[in-house]
Amino acid sequence: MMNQMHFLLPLAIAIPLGMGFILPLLGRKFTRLADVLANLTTASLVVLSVLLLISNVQLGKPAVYWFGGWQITASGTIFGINLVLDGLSALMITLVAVVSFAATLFSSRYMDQYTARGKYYGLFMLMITGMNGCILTGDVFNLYVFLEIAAVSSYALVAFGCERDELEAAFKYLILGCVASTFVLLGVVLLYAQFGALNMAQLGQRIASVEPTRGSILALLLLLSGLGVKAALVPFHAWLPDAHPSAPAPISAMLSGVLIKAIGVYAIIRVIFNVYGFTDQLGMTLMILGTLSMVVGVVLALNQWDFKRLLAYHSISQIGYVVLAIGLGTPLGILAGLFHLANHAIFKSLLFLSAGAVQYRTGTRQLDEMGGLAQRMPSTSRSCLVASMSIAGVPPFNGFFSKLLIIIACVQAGRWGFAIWAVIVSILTMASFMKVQKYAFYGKLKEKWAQIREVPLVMRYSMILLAVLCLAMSLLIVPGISAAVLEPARDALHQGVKGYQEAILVLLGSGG
Amino acid sequence: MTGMTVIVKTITRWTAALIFLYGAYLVLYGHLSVGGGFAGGIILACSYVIMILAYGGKETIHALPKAVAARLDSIGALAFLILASLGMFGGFFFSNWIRDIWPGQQFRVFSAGIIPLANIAIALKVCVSLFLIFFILASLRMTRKGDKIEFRSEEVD
Amino acid sequence: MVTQLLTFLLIFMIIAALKALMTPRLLSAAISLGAVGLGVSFVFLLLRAPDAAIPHIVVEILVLLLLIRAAIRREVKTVSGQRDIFGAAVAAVLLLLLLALIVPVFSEDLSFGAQPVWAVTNPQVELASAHYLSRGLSETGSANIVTAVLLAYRGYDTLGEATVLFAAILGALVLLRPRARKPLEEK
Repeated sequence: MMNQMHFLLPLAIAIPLGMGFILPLLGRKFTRLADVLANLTTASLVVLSVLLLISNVQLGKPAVYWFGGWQITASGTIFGINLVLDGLSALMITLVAVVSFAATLFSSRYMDQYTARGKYYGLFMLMITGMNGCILTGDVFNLYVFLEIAAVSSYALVAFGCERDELEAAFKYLILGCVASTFVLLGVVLLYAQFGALNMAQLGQRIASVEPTRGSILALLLLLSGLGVKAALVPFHAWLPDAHPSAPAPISAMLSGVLIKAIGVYAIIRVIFNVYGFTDQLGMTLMILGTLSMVVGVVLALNQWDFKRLLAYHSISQIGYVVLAIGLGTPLGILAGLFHLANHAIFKSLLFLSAGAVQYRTGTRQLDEMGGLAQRMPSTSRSCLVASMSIAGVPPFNGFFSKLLIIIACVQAGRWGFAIWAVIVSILTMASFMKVQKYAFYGKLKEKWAQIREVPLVMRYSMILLAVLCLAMSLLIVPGISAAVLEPARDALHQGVKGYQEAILVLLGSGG
Repeated sequence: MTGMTVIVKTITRWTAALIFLYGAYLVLYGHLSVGGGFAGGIILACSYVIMILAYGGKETIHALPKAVAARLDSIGALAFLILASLGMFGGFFFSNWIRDIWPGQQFRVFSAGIIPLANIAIALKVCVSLFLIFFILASLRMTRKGDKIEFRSEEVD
Repeated sequence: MVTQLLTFLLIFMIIAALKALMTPRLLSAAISLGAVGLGVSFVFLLLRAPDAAIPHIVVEILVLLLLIRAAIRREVKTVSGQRDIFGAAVAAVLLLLLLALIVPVFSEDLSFGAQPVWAVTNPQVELASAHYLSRGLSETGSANIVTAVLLAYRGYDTLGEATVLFAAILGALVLLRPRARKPLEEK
């Protein structure tokens, strides 16, 4: 039965897509119904993604689903679109589901400050659709289409409050995002013009069959810079520090937690490892981009007093860790990078949610205006503390293990310089979050905050859920659990072009 | 938006009908000749847009209120998704299950299974979408408060 | 002949786009943009792609109407303010760099309107496009191959594109709603 699970694959896209069409129909009177439906949808996605994760482990090889039954022909012509579920996509889709569940739970009370709840959830669901589509697809043009769905809905969500600065941030994001999307499209066009294929496995096969041409290198360059903007790698990061803080808190959590990973980092590593094939130059490029992001992000974060903006800069920095580790190209490096990616999704969304909780009650994002909030908002303060310790790399929280693995991987690969940078950035991150804790939650309670209360129950539950996950994810370091979740994901990348092709082109011989 | 002179209105009424017919033709014959849901839907939207221009917003909104348009937008998209999902009965998402049961005759309107139906769904979606976007942006009012310029849609939903 | 016409259209479109960028008057910018769109539609027609040309020209008309309505009825008629010389210079350098990379590839490595390069060297492999042409009608029942590709072979992509449009419209509806925030009700 579990082996048939891949027939559920399109549901990961169809469920949020359908809800994305239905939820905007709900008007003002059905606000609570919209909350319930949205939460049910994300909960069902969590169940679905866990099922897919389990079935992937049991199957032991990637599952392929051809839309419309247009399977690959015996002569090897691919003319349909396929979905591919391997270890990496199973991991990513679970992350998206978990973070979006926490975000919808949080939204059900947080969004009381805004109007148009049905439309909000509609856009939210479309964003999930876009991310799931990107993660599962095995076709480059389809990747572009779903990337656009996720991006277009996120533009509107960033400006959901319609304030002047929010609109400005969203406009900046829109312009940069459109340029990036155009680059991606141009890259896809160039690939198609040269190789006559859009399927990633087939493209990989054809790219490998000839010497690297100017055209294919240019296509890679365009794809990397386009997707680099989506992933907010330095020097393509300019939009992120404006866009992520401007959005409503659950959306910031989604954007920083999963969006930049699903349509940015994931797409980049998919293209590099499974289409072009990993080379040392590409690895070096990734490592340099990663280290740059890591350092620049944290340095810019140090001087921030705006809570959410500080978190946004740390997102750039943490994504740098992920890209650096994956750029090493060693099995341990990839494992560590993916582990950190998963951890970052959890603790960064928790941080944004707790920043949102503080803003919900105090109405401010400035750290120096807060102070002593731990006395009035104990749950928020504790979950924020957990997340801060995770991101700062304090044992036994998940961030510690992934950062440790990254540093070990750097040393193992003989990249001492990068290891030292990773340590320095880690210390700076810790300093930055000690500042956050000191100014926001500890110290003297200010007079004007004497009367505020803890946030509503569902918002607390959502934060506690993520805080528990922050601790629980540490278990992924245990070999048995890692073998079920992280190692299939690592293998999907480490087996490279060949492994990915075999998954899809093996079906050729057996006739699917 | 009060509308234009009676000459313009009369001519518009006739041309809008013709444009509408052409759009409908493109949609329904999309699987046989040039056209399809997107092209036809946009032309259908065009016929509404010239009505807005000639008659003014009030009259047109009477014919197709914004709330209804927003609903139709969702319904069109949903119809396409449902058509695709029903393909699950044929074994796959997007499989042409109607054609498996009832292939029809090639080069006739009633053929190709879900394709004409999908065209209609897309046309509905595209037409209403473009109508909506035109209507929202056309009813946008700019108010100047001191140095600040504010854009707000006119009517409240 | 087609190549010359295409080159002419390309130059026309570049000039119109530059005009749209440079002019301070909103109305002329809108009209110049319309000219670019018209050029694109003609290019599609010349390349014998009426399925792309029809929607494109109609969308261009609609957008032009919209922009003109937005541009002429409003208090703001011109764009004022200083041009950012440094930013423009950086943009120009980056653009030239991009062109320097792209132009050789498109002009030398890829010939216009030809088969994919890979297919020329590997003629034994059937491309997806050849499959669409030879078996599109029998497999999907749609005589219009463009529709067959759009709604049968790659229907999933079309669903995605319709969703992009839907998301954009929903986003516009959301951003232009009369009131965005409301005070919290304490319970």
